[in-house]
Amino acid sequence: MQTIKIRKLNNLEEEIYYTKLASGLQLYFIKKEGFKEYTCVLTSLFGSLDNSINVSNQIKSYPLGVAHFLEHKLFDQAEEKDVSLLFADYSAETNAFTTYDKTSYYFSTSSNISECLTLLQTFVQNMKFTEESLSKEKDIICQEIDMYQDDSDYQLYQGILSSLYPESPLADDIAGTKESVKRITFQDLKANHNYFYHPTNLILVVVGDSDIEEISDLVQKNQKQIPKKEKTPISRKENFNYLPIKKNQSKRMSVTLPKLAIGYRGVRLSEEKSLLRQYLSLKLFFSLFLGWTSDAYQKWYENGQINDSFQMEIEVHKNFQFLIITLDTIEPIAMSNKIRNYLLSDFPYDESLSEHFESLKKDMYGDFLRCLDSIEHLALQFVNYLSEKDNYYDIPNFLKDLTLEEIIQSGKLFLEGADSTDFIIFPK
Amino acid sequence: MLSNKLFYRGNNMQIADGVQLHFIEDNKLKTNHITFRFSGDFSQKTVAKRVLVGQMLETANETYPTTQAFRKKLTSLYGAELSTTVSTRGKVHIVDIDVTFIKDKFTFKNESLIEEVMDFLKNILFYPLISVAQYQTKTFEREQANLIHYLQVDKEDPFYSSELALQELYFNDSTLRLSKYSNKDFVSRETAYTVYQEFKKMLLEDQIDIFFVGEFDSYKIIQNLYHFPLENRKKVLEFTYSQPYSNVTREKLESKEFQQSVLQIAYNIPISYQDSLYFALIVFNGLLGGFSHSKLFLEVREREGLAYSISSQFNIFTGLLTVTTAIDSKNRNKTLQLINKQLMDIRRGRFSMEMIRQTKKMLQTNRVLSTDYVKSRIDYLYNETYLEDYTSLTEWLTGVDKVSKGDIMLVASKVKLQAFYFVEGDT
Repeated sequence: MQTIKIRKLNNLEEEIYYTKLASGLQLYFIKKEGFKEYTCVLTSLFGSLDNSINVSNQIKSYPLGVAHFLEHKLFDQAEEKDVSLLFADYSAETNAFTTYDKTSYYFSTSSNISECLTLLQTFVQNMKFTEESLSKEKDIICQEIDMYQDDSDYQLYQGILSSLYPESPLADDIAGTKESVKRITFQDLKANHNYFYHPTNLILVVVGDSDIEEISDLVQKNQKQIPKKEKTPISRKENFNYLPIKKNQSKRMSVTLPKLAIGYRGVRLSEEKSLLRQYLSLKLFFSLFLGWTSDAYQKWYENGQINDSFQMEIEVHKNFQFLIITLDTIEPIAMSNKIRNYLLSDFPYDESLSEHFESLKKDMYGDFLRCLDSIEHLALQFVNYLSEKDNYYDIPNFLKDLTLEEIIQSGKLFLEGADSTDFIIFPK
Repeated sequence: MLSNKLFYRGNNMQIADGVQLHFIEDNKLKTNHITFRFSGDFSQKTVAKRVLVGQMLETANETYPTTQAFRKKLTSLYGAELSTTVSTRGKVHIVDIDVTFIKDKFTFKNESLIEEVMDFLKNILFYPLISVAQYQTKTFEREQANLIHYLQVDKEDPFYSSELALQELYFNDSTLRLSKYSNKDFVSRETAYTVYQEFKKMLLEDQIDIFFVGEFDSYKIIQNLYHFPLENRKKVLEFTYSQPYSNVTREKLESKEFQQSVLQIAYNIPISYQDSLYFALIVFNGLLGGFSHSKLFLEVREREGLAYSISSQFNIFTGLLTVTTAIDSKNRNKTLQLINKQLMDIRRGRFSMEMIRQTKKMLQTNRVLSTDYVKSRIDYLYNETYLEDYTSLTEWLTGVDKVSKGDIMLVASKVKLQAFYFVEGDT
């Protein structure tokens, strides 16, 4: 019998349960009393970056976009009804998404939770589509890639990423390129499904007003009914190469104001560092000095040099960490210099900083709590933050623990080791 | 007891004529929520002013005169989230100030955030950033420029810009042809003076509703609200609009530098929320294009592979039903025909009882799910309070249940193609 670990956050009135089932699948259950909605997310630890793997001492490489392609195709049940229709039969809405390191399938509903949960596992763990159906799917994915071409914010983001990580899987869209998608074969999909959709590589997150015994019994039963598969021993080729960054790329699109992206590529983190702690440290650091309550932001905003489009995105992963600042601005080149010069300064410590820092911690804590009020948002955030070492509910403790000195040190260390560049979209 | 001005109706209380408080108790949430709602006329003359008022309200005031001071205060209140939202219902223009903040019991030192947030709200409403009879010009002009920029950026989105183009084509009423945010030209014409004067007018004349969702001590709140100078007012609001069907189909074709082409189709629906066919209309829309099991999605996207996305939606307050789809430009006519065929099929009853059952179940599930969301609950309560015969949750659920196949066919026969707009992309 499996053991269930319970974590009660009494001060937050939250309960989280964890168990590993006999099949190897890991189950998290977050109890949300009083809510009507349930969201269940089944995640394979297989993302867009996992396209080169070591199978019995042989390196196998696959075209870009296999994880995303598989995400699309698993909904296809060949002769039977499409999976989203089966969910609709139970009045549930379903969706899926692929990130750098995960592929997640989920549904939301207010009824028929057990039927839906069974269906979720069955369709993700069994590959049923046929080879003949691939060419139509390739068209659909190419249309999807085309759709992103119009989106200038997306182009800006992808543009700066490809300058920061040239010729790496990060340089292209998660869906791959039109060319790579066309090269994907049935065998590629099948092999990757075998490697990455084994229960030992799957995590199920259930959020809603239910009962852990019921959920774990059901999932256990479901897992027994799914045909067992041999586990292929694989290891991921963890590191892609960091080539020199590309300087000052730009392109033209029909936009009203020029769009600027500034990117900082940090050095790879050491194994023992907690990714979540690093993420929160950087987030606090950059909010303090560049966020919308900072003096720098205020000065530029008052002068009309930046507006609400100013955004910072921090990503901290096992193999990479970066900061991307994006903004619409009339003077992109001058602003790029201004912001980059500012980030070279030494951020002296002064009295008011400490108060501002405490405020920002409260702000992030408030943000964390707000998320607990939306079932779907919570489920997806939980998956997003899930790593071997920590999960979403560790945020309050980390916040309590982090000091101003630590975050300033983390921020400075990140900036000192980082390579930076910019990418601009000019109006046509 | 409290002042005799108070008038109780369920969880609603009137603190002055045309100023109502609404309490929705909720113990499962971690946060409390306040919405301060202005309801006024949706008219060409005032729409840009009202949108600018919204923008100023969330920017600065006399106590917190810079955006930095304003935001720093919110940050210190555990990241209280404050924003303004603009919406319309028929010919009513609504400006909301929404604040979400954590419940007092979850603060680090048992602080009283409710009081602080109420104070903050009072500052926003009654201590605006002005000099003499206008908004402080520097801040106003910057926010005006920002708003103009946002309006331009929105137009870069092929879906949003084509939705506006369809609206302009479809409506006879000159106000309804406008976006709820008005447009760049209208916004540019306003000044720090005209906008501030409009704000004063909103405070005096708009219908005001204040919603409290979460755990509040209503007695304390009412005490606190006595410091809000809100006078009696009588605002008549026109929640519904309908226009007759005309025999001439309006069409407009354009090409723009978008990567994809978008087709937008407008249908006239002569059915209001008070109509006996209201629930049948809801089911009809679900069957046509509301879901991934709907006819449009199945036939146009899945079977024919003509579109990446396709859906239908309707606005009960304006009688407009639209179908939106992103397609390859060479498939325009084929898609248009196929969409019309789906409507014809529903008119002729070519859909299964199973599809009806599924659609109803889906609609009911979604309606129940929406009760988890604060803003939906506020909107339902608002509708129930001000719209005559507006249905409660239970009535709604049974209403949908009772819809027959014949009712759906009848709705389909009343839905008439009125306009379509096509924007051709450059690929």
